[in-house]
Amino acid sequence: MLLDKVRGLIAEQMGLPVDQVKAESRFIEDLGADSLDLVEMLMTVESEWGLLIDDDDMKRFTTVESVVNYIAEKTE
Amino acid sequence: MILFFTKGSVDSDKFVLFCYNHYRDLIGDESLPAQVRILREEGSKPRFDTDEAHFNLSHSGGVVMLGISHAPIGVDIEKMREIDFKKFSFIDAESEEEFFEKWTERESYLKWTGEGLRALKCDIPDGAHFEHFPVYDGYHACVCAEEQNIRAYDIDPSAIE
Repeated sequence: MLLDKVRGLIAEQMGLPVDQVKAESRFIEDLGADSLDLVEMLMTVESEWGLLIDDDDMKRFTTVESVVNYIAEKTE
Repeated sequence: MILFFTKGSVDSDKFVLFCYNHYRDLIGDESLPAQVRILREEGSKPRFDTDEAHFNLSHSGGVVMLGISHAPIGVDIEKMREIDFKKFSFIDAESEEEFFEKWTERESYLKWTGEGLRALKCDIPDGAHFEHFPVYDGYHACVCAEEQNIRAYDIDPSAIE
């Protein structure tokens, strides 16, 4: 399931247990991500799903589910 | 400009407002507003409700960096970690040390302009001015701002109620 795959990816990036990474978790406030974590995570998303994230889309990625929604949009 | 660093868990807004009071005392400018509020507007970086003072904040690995100045600034702090820096094609670095130096410059520049990550791969103009601060072991900290005097203080997180 897409959400679970994204949660696993983020948990690995952040070195967190996967059950701490919820759909509504905010990267910065809840998961303690810094800017480098965020960019690295998005680069992994790009290579996993064969996407190229537009610079303008960068501001969308505030929560785990915002990433899931983006991937779903771009891959359907 | 005054930089404030703290190691530990603090409420960001409380930290900013606490340090603003310190800033006002340290600068000794009584024309600065005694009280300020933090404004958050869609698409812009958080700011004070006055043009007399500007701030920027960064967190990484349990450390917080705050800069307050009379003019706009951008700050970035990063905990150094193992990273495959070669995949960041828009950053030309030969070593992890160099990568973190250039990454914090880029980030602090994007925070100075307020563009943020949507301009991640932009060209950084030659005139942009950076200062690096090896404040804590294992962290890289950088400020992007017009050239000015900079002082730095370490704040005990328990002082922020």
